[in-house]
Amino acid sequence: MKKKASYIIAIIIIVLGITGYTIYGYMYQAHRDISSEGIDYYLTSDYLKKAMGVDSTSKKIIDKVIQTEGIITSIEQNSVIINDAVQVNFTKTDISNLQPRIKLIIKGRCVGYDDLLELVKIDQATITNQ
Amino acid sequence: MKTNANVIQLFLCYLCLLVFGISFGQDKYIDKNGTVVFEASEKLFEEVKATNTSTTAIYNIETNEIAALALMKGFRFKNSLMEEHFNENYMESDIYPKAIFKGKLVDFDTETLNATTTEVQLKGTLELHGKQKEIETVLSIQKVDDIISLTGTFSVTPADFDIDIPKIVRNKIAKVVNVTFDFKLVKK
Repeated sequence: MKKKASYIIAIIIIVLGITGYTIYGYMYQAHRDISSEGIDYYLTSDYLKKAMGVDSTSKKIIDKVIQTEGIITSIEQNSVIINDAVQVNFTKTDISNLQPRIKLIIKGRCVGYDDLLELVKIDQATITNQ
Repeated sequence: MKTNANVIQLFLCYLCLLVFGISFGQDKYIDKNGTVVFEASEKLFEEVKATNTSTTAIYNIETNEIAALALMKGFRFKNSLMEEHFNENYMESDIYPKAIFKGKLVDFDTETLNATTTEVQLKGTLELHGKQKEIETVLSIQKVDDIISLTGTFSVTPADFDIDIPKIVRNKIAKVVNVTFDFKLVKK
């Protein structure tokens, strides 16, 4: 009888442990790793800007992993503008050796369309052509 | 002859627009990577805080007008599930992808703008989640070399923007959300 009770207690503890672990894993799941995710759309920067300017198509692109290309038009502290159409922000990539007028292919997450500056914003980007 | 006159008229129109555009363009200061942080943490509970480091801010030094735009998906939380809930359940970022502020510095003489920090009253409207709210606050303005720095805070509530917080998490999210902004604008 005693043996049976201790079995039941052991099972309850294991079940509780597994549930706790699962809940913890769900609550504190890791952030997306954009650089390791597959590409959802591959668009030129001009086309990306056109598509993002329209509400119905932008909804399909926002939060997706985008690969895009263009010529660097300006470089700021932590971001690069390509074709005056897309603002690309990097998290880990060192951009100090980039220069205007060179061609860049990047992969990153589309954040949305900034209609004040008419720029598509991409973050968590990595460079794919260098 | 008539077409010639038309062409000249059109040309003059373009010239006017061009001159207009240039004179306006010179008065603008822009930041593409401004920081906006909001916090609605409650003591003893996990922090509810997100940072957006790609906020756009434009300051027109001629008219004292300020416009800022933050994309909802650009707000990053420490906890990825919180970020997901923020976008899907509370802000409904698919329908309302951005927050826009449009306002003006009240009675500010831009001639006095220099390296010492000045406090200025800011009045404007914040629009997000399809709702608008009047914002009135004091911000610090400073100009060092060619960079204008604008920093400040203001408070809003979820109810201001018709954002319903479910009962189950109501005591974990503060009633008042504090928003801090920090823009470093350069002349364009």
